[in-house]
Amino acid sequence: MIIVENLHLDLGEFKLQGVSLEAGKGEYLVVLGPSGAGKTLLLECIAGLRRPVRGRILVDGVDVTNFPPEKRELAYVPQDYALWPHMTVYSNIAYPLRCRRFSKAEIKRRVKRIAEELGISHLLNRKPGTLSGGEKQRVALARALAWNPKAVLLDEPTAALDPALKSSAWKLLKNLHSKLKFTAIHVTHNLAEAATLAEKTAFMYGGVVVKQGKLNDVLATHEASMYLGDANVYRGKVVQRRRGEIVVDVYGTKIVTIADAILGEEVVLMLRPEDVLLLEKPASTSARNTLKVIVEELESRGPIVLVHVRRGDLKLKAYVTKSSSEHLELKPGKQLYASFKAAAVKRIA
Amino acid sequence: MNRLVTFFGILSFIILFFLAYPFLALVLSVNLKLLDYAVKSPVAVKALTLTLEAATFSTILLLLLGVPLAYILARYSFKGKGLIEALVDLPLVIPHAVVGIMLLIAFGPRTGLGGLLEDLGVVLENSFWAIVAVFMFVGAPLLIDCAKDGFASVSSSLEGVARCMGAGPARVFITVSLPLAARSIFTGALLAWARAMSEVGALLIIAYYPKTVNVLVIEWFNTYGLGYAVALTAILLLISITVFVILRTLLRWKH
Repeated sequence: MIIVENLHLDLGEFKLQGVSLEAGKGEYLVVLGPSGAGKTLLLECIAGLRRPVRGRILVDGVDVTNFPPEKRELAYVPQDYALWPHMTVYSNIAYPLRCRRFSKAEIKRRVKRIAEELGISHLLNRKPGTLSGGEKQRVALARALAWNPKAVLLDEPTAALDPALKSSAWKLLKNLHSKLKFTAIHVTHNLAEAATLAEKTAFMYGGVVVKQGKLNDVLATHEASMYLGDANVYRGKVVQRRRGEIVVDVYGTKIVTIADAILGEEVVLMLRPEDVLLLEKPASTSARNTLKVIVEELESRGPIVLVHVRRGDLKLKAYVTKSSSEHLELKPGKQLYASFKAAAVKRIA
Repeated sequence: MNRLVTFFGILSFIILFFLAYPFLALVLSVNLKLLDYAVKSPVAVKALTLTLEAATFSTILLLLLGVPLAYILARYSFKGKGLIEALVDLPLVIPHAVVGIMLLIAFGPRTGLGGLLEDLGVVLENSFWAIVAVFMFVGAPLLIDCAKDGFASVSSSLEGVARCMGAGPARVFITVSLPLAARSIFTGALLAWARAMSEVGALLIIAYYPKTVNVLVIEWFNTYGLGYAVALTAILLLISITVFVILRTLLRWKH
């Protein structure tokens, strides 16, 4: 378990201004935020590569703020993977094990096991310079996981990959996490990446963690809206497939979308607030999704109003014009129907 | 080919000719009889051996003392760093005779520090140690600057990740920083060694004896004439180039 309390550090362009967050044991925490938010700086502080001027870092209850990196037992995977170019893939993965004085046989066994897990057994004698981006990422993950660290710190681990490889890298990380149950703090600016992987999300902006919790709660914050727009992003499981459509269960609500996926697969959906229609009564429109919702909050955006509504744990943002808002007499607590087309719901991961 | 490239080609030919022709001229003017004399001369062999020994020994000492400084200069920012870097480079611009004078008045046996060194058995005047001191002084900037560039080119994330994986600073230095900067350090050592082999000005002041080969070349030139000096120079040149080529090839093979 990692607890970060009130971390401060000022490096001019990048700064931390009282960052606090928590990743539970075995939890996958994604720190989402724009470039310059201080995400990498935060990871470097947790890893021990930079010393904060104020604040504390606790690893499994031990205050490690003044510990050197090698005493923290935290594996760090930087954006460029930092594989040692003069060592073979085997030596790269074995390095942390050698530092811990494991026997030769044990090192061999562990390297073999993690290499098989990541499908890189055929690369063990190669040097990093001869590997593709995806292969390098797998080797970096193998090196980070081979020694069972207390947590893995991942800095934009898919940023260096081609767009086509990103989603398979997310799948790999997700599978590895569900199998090995390691604690992870993963920083990214990619919303789809966060939506795919996060068990908990923290949104970081201007050197502070604005909010942490469920992705949708985090996205509902003003700062997240400023950066990401007002998009609705959901993660859910495919519960039904029919004629080019899939039905996705999001917090117990069924959302129909035009996409292809395997039954039981986890998908990430995005719905723009301008595609959501708010009605007083369920009208007979062609929209495939109609949900009974309750108004939570209204935000004025000049000529339009952003309406936050919810149905159980599912939160939804919708735009209406000022006159529609007045006509519907919108106010917190009012019951409405939110309607949107299946085609308006896009699968982003 | 455009006119500019033709023009540059002509200029390049002039400078290359200027660099290469002296080698050819030397080879062409060697008198085989005198060469045989030089090869068999115990004085020449002794001077040559002494020069090789002192150059190698000074390079090893420079590696031990210069590499840590290079690492600090490459990795850390601190007050006075610019001054230290300037000091390291200073020997490059000081006339060789001045180097000899400076070392003599700083470490010679008649100085306070020199007296202390003498008590330890290290006499820095007309001795093997004086030769080593001169070679180290003139070679230091070459080795330290090369090593510094080598360390600076190693991404700090490579070292940082090694720390996170459980290696202490010394282990990171030995297993990550040093191997990755090795090529630059090796090049620096090679340049420092070659610089030592070519030094003569400072030696004439502080260590005329025991005679190094360059001092002997001057002595033979003054005493016996150009022919003898050419014969000795040819041997020195052959050894220097051979060592240089072997080391360069080794370096290329390694990578």
